[in-house]
Amino acid sequence: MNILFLGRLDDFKDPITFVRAASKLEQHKFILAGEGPLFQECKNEAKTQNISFLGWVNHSKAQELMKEADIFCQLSPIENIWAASLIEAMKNKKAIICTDAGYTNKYLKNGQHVLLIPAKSPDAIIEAIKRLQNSKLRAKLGRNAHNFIKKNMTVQKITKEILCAIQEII
Amino acid sequence: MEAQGCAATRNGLDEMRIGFIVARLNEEKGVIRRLSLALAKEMRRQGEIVELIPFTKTSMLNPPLGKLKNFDCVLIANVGLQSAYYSLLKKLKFIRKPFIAISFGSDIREHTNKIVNLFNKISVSAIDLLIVINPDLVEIAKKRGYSNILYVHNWSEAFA
Repeated sequence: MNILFLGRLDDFKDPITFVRAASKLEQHKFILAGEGPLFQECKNEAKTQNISFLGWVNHSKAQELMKEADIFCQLSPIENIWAASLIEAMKNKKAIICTDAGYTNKYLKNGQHVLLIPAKSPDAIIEAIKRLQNSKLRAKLGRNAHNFIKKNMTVQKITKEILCAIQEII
Repeated sequence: MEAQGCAATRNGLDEMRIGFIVARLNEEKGVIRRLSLALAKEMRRQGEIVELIPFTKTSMLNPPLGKLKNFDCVLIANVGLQSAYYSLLKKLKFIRKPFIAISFGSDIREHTNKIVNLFNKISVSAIDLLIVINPDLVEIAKKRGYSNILYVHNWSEAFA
């Protein structure tokens, strides 16, 4: 399977745990796209050949990676709600492994929209990937996550909220 | 703050004229730019008049004060240098329009960063409404002294 991490490479997003998981699961392909202060540390941490470091990618490349991915990882130990890449993964019906941090479990339910795991745990990522070898589970999570976005998070609906709030103060 | 209540009454009102200040408009990198463009596009689609005003070194030396008089309000993407700069102009009474700023996260979250703290300190009294797109930012914004805060979901589905 293709497993994708897309985001800034800093402590807030915790790419290091992703790289550590990759080193323990050689049968899958891990793709890390993004740049940031932890880029070199991520490279140093990689012990195996099954991980690609793409650096910063433009949006069309990011969309391509998203489409090709089987699993998307969102691993912040602080807050995942609402990272742009997480929303894009949900809209693209991806199966998502997500840390249970901040407000995450208020919006995203374990086993319904995503698989929630503890932060900073490569073993938890590995366990979740093993569960997601089940294609029916991947499809179910992807479908539910997509429906969540469609119901709650369209740009039309949010823009309307913003315009109403602006209207109240002018 | 609840904004949903007025959603049904927006239809039929005169359009709002919004000056939308966005930094790094010409740079491909950056989710803030893409979110700002998506928001402006959707605001226009919903009938508002939105003009993007790039925030650059040139605009700092020669701010578009005349142009800003034509808008009903000033919308600023990110509580950064751009918001601090225009907040100073508002404090000096060069601008008398309501200010709305959108925080995308790190601009108010990083409380140990002196520059971030300074930009917020300057901006807080000038901003009439702070829109945040992460729920944890509501408490963080309150601690920084913002009083009128609206949480909305991130609309990045627009470019997925």
